[in-house]
Amino acid sequence: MRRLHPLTPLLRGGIIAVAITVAAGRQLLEGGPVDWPLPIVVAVVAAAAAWAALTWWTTRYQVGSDTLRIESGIVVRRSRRIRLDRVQAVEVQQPLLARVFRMAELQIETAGDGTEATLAYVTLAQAQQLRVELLARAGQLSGRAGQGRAATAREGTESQHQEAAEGVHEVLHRATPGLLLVSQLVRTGPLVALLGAAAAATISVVVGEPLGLALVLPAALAVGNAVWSGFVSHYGFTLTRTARGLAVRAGLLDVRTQSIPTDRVQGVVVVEPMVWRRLGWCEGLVTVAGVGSRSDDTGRLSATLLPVVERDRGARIAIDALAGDIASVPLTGIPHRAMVLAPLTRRVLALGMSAGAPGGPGVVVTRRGWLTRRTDVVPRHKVQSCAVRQGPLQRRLGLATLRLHLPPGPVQAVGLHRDQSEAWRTALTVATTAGASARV
Amino acid sequence: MTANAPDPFAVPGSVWSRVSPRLATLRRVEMLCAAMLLVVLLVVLAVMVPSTRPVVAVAVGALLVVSAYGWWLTGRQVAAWGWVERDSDLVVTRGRVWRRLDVVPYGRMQLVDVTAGPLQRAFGVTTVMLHTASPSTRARVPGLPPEDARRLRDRLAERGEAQAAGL
Repeated sequence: MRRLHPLTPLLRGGIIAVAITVAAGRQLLEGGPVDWPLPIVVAVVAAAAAWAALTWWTTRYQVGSDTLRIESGIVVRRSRRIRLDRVQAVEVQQPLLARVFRMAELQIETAGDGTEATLAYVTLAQAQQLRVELLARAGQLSGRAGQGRAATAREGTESQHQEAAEGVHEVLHRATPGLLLVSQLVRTGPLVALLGAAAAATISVVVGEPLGLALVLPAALAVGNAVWSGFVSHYGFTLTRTARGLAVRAGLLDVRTQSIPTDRVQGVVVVEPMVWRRLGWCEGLVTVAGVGSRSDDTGRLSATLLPVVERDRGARIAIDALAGDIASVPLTGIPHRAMVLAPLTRRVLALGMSAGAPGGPGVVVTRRGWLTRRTDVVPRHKVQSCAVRQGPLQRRLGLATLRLHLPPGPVQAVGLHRDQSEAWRTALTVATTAGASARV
Repeated sequence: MTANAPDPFAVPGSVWSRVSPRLATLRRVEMLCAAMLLVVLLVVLAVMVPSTRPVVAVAVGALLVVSAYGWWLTGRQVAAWGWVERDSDLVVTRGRVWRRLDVVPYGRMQLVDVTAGPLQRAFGVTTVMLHTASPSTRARVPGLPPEDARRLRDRLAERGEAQAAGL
């Protein structure tokens, strides 16, 4: 059994120190003296330090031949065994404080129940070595246990293992900071907020009523926050091709690496906010099995394939990620009688399906969105299930909406207001392909 | 849908299996219980605060109308549920005004749930629900007699195993 790095209590306790400093600083700023009784502060710090040290002392881990064991807990002992053949992804993360000391934490994601184990902290070199080791063992185990294309999770670990073993190949895309910052600023959300705030400010200046000005600051703050978080999490975004997939590395404060095994990609979506379309930019997001289920910022990064890129290049890379040919899928618009239901997007809404050459996947492409246009691409053999919906108005017009269901993630293939028999035929056909490919 | 207008969402070569009409009975009982409870509360209110009587009378009347509508609607809704077992997928349809059809390949099923609460058990109606890796999949067949539900689940599980590989 091994222990985590001895600096762990310090890095963990660092949070407490920061909290105390911030609290003290705030009191000083507000003019009051810091009048906490010293013994209490010392006692709190000592107790926290002791707790952190004890936690470190009692936490041990061991990489066995087929399981990873983690023992932890001071009062309540907890022993966790993670089956290595269930490991889906191993991520190396470096929070800011850990980065200063060249430490890292290891996050292990498993299939099925979606549990996640964290080893924090080990040295960066150790973390990388552990990642390779875990993935290698997971790969060996799954190589013994089963094969076949449908065993996506296992293939995923295998491909990650190979990637870890064979290293990075070719840089496909690197986002420049300037472009990133500008692009985040001219997304539809921030832009509309800024324009709204500007309008309110103008009106209140003209009318002489200061109330509208009160809106400007919160709007500016919200926009600033959105732009900043987009910028920070995607800073230095690098997409590389590896032996059996793609890998993403990004972050200004917390650098994250994420591998995207091609065979676990469930679909891609190309998003074009209003102004971006004019500038010929787009954003690419992916749904990867077992990754996109987290909805916080980490989920956002792991879903991002390209934060901002010229449209043509983006499409090419998206094709790459899917290993399918989406350029040749002819899109058809909605029937003329559907225009009443979608007056603004009547020229946008479209759906296309490629039959898929033998061996090739065949994809379904849907396009929608008025201000922010999105094109979702889903390989037919990745579809989990299909749904057709018809409301009362659609029924009168003989229309229906087709939805293809995928694992959680940003990709949502929706064919709005299709001809009802076309939608139904498509649903049955796609389901048949999906079922057939699950059988292989 | 009238008999002479063909169903635009028919499954070629199959007819819909329909759910048990006892599901309608169960839902009507549930609805009436709720309505009765409300009526009792309203009557108590009317007895204790005489000034509210006109309002209560109107409310009870409205409740009766709504219940009657619900009675009729439940029958139509339950009659609209249907499913078809195709070679490689299960097709479920529901709803009349807002129609929804789900097609779930057997190979994509992660698990099949069979559930019946105490009230459902008393009425002999059981729900079979399919789950895939997508949370949006909503394929549910309610109102099956317990024996049929078990058989359907076993058939689905068997086909799912035969058509899925690995995880």
